[in-house]
Amino acid sequence: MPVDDHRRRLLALVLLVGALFGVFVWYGTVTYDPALNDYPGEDDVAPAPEAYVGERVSLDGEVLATDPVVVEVDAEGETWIVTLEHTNEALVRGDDPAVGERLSAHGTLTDSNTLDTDRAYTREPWEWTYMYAISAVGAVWVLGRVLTGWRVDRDQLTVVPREQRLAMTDLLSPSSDQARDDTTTDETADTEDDADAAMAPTAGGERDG
Amino acid sequence: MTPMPRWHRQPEVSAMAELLTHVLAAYILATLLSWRYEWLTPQFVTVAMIGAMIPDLSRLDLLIPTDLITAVFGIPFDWGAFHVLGGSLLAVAIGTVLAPADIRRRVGALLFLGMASHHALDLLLLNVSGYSYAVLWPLTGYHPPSPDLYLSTDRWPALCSAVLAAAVWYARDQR
Repeated sequence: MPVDDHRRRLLALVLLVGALFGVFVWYGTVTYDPALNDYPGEDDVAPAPEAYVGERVSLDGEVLATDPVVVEVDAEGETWIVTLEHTNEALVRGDDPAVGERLSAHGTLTDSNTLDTDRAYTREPWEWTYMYAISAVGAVWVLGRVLTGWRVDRDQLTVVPREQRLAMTDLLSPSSDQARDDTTTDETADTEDDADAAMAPTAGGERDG
Repeated sequence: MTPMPRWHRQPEVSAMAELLTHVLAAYILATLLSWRYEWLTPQFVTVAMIGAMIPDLSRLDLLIPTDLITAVFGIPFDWGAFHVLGGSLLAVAIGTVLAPADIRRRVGALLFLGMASHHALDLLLLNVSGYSYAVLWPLTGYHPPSPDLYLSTDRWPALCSAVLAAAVWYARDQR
């Protein structure tokens, strides 16, 4: 790779990372705007609900009682108890609210502790556990594929495809020679290709894509 | 009362499908494309799958809370920018520049494919307000109406995409 390209890449990386940081800060200054269909949530409302009376708001909480429906909203370290009116008619998904379930609701705040509900749905608490667990499965799968298929070229600061994909089992036994490439402790540019060639990939490495 | 800046708000969890469905969708798309493009090996399929994870990097909030950054540096901050066009595109660009010159365009295209498929699926999610998220920000902060097809806690999206992915994987193996 020509030196010029290497320099331009480094410059581009610095600029892009800087721009990304700038975008995080910029996005942090964005406030909700009902004109854009963007409504305040419990983190906005819970600290001072009286300021939002008459506004459309969204909230998420745990069901404490069902007749009438009362939810406990935890937001920004504050606990906000809200009575939800017309919840059963407003349900768009899920069962009728039951004590202990998670309930999301959207509607108009009629006083600081009452929501005239337009839309709502319920979820079982365990469904959140499912969501995080299954997401972790997805993340681990991709991580495994990245480690078996790609490696870091430290000299060029690039991520390059391996000549031969490793098998997943190579990642699980870091003491073996085949996984040594992943630790990249003594890796240098001239030995990389040799090291890759020396690694004996199993058939599984090619197949489990 | 002045509206609070978004950095007081938690990420809108409801506007995200679970990650496995996204990763499977990218796997399916890229594997189908690999039948047309010879160079699209399993390693490049992985690139599309990485692209599909980009918007959910907003969940870095779980590791490094936005409030902590604000407290330490005294600036507004929101990882949620990963989950809108601006941050997603910059992340794709960073990934593209990390690739060596000879495969850079391919890597960029596949990262973009995965990233775009993620947003396409998330725009179908159910939102309690009836409106989705500001996908095109910073071009516009408009929240489009949400079709309310499914929730991130539903099981059938991952099940369906897993079945499809298995079919595609099997078909590829038979070729």
